[in-house]
Amino acid sequence: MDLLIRIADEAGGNSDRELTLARIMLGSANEADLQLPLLELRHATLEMGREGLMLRSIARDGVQVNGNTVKRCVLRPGDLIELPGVGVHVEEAPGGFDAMLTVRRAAGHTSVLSAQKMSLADTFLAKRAFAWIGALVVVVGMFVVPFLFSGERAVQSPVAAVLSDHVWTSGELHAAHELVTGENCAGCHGKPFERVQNEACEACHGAIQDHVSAGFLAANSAPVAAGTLDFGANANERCGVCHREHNEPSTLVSDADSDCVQCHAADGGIDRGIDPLAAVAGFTPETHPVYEFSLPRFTLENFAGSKDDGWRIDAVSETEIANSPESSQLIFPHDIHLDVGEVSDLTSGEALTCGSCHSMSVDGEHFLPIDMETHCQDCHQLDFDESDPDRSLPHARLKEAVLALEGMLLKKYFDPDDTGELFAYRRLPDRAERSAGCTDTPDVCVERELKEIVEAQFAGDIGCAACHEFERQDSKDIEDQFWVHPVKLPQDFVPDARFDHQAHQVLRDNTTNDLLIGDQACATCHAAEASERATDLLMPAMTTCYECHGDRSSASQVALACIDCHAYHPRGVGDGGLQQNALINGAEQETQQKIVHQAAQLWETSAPGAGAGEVGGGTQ
Amino acid sequence: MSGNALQYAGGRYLWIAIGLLAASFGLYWLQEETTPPSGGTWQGLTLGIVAGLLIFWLNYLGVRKRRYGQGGSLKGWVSAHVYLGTALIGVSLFHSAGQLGWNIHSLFFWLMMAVIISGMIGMSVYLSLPRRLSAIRKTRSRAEILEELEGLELASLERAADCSESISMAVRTALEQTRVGGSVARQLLGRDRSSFEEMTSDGGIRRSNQDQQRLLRFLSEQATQTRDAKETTALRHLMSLTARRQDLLRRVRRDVQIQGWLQAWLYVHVPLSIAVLLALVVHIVVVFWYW
Repeated sequence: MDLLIRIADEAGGNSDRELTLARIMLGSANEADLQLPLLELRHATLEMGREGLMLRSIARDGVQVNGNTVKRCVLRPGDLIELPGVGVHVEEAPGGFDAMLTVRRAAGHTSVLSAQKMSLADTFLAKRAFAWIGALVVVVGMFVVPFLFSGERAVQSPVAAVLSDHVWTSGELHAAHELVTGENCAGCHGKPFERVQNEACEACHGAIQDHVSAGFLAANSAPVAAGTLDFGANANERCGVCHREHNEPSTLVSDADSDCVQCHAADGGIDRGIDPLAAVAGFTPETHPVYEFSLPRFTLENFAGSKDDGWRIDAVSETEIANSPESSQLIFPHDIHLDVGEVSDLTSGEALTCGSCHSMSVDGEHFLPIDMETHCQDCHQLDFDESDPDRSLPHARLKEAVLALEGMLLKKYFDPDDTGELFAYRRLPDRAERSAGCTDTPDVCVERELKEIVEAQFAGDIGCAACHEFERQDSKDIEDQFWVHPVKLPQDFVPDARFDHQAHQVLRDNTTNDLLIGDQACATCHAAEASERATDLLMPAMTTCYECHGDRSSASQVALACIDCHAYHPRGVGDGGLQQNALINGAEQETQQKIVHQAAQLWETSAPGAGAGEVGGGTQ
Repeated sequence: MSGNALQYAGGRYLWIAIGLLAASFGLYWLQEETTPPSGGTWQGLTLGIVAGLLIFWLNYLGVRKRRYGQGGSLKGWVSAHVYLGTALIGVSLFHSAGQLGWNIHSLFFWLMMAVIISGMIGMSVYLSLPRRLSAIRKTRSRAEILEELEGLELASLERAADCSESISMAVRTALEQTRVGGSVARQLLGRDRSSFEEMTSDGGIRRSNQDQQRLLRFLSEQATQTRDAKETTALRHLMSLTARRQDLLRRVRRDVQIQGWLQAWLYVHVPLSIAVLLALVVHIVVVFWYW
């Protein structure tokens, strides 16, 4: 028998159960096919008889059908079986079923359970309301309130840390910027939806030079117009391209090589035919050009009387180091001065070190100027008057030195108190013999001996000539017969680049893995111990750099970025920088011009008179 | 329908999510080591756009599940929702390069994390609880059980009518003071605050009737004391009925509890999803407001 049982609940819903059984048991027992709690355990059965659906009561008292108590009966559609707690209606059997019953709960008892909250939806929880509240909180708390207290209005906020546009920050501001701007976001962020403009940076950093100055661009307007030199907007980018704020950790300068290379590479933005700089794509022998250094050179023909005359600064490629003598116009053998057998420290008696003469400047890059008085005179003394050993000849002033000598001789020959004993020069043991036999009048003796002394200074590898290049000149005055070349010691061979000498004081030998410190570190790049002449240019080629360094792509031991050696913002003040050099413009459109000019500029500003000063004759 | 949403199509969306994470990491890694990686580089911006579109798409599930039979099976959508939603943690962290602080952008991230974690909790209850649920109901619906309970109550009242006033009062008040569910906490914790009133010389005293234990004890005590044969029969019936009610009430209470847990996470997940959507808009507006 196929029976459909529909259980109708009070709310009007139905749930259907289909039973396919020969005999269906109604009761409250668990094994009953239609389990109804108020019935006897086994209350009645239903089965399909010949006459139709047959109900049999098992309960002793029988079953109520249509108001009559029956023990057994045949059910027809429309009949009502009244069981304890429920009424069972016999329905017209739908297709596929032999019979259908609808079970309805008898009225009279409503469980207290029906009024209880058995779903979260019955509680205060409500997704839609929560969504509205959340949305409102987000928009008000994260946008509206910060907006109301944005910019300069932030100071009016009762709690600026949470109720102002400070909460809009995408990361900590650099402490210095935070201090200066007073956390006024709009101080730098001018217009909404517009990136921070250079004007905001220049309000404080106005003295910083553009990479390519406006003056330079204006001076080169012709080639720009011709489309050959397209520096244009790329030359002076928005500050924010390299300087990114609100980063964690705070890093104000991007040292991305790509920012430089995108213009300076062979296929970069700059016209290769016009760019004074060689193309560069990285820091490896293949991608970086050889460097050029500024070498002051002296030529006599150009000398016209002033101390800087006769000098020009050549740009020399590193490949030409061996063929490029340094022309400081000094005579100085590094090897002898570093050989303890020849020269030793006056107080300790130990060998001289590089640092005995080369004292690092506070910038860690350059060295303090070398001068006679500080570095040479302890050994190369200029005292000349035995009766007054504290007197020294004035260095670098030949005429005054000759006058001093003359005065000493006049005193010797004319002063009646003078013993007449001739002093012996420590380094001129033959002088006494030559001078001793002067039997002429004192004035003749003075003149002769003065001539002897001065000429001796320039006679060989002693006296002035020991250190200085000089020229003989025709003159009746002894002081004009010799002319000492002016001396210039280069202060910066590569003024356009930075090199941190301080950081290179400790090195590791790549082959032996030994730690190199002090002079060993210096000698890694500068072969001073083997240098016999001052004309030896003791600069290393860049192959020395590549032994330890490369760019980030080269997986070298110590990666270098462009800005580790090169400055983006030209050094100098005021209207200085790229626009001032003769780059491209002018008579000499040679690539060297830029380097030359920068070197000269630096020279002007460094070392007033000391290292680069002229050097006159000395007596010893 | 075989397998759950996680196993849909052999974990197809798991692999898509892993692929998305790998691609995101690749983009993150591509950022130059010269400045700290951030959401401001082109890679960071790209990751931000991906994460933003992902948030919109994940929210779209709320629309999609109300429209049956559109664009693939709902199970597939749920599978993708779960895996890609989890992958969003990685994508957004790669976007921001892990930079978190005291600002609305980080708040946005934590709101998003709350949504994702609530989703994970939801997924885990979906995976574990329905099995227990069917074990509890024994294939019957809650409505059927409640209906049976109502029948048992009626029968209990009828039987109690054959008993003394004190028994009748205890049974009646026990039925009236039976508690299932209630507040959020009671639903989720399955606490039973049922009680009944025991007659004393000066009225009634309310006694806790947790799990109908006290009523059962009361009825059995009464059964040992009564001399009335009719009352003895009625008490035996009442005990049987109460024992069945006890069993069914346990099931309903557990059912309410499990249904509650199946629903509870949604009260966090759904409203916060909307909040996150707005926070996303605010985030985008604000980062470009102060560009």
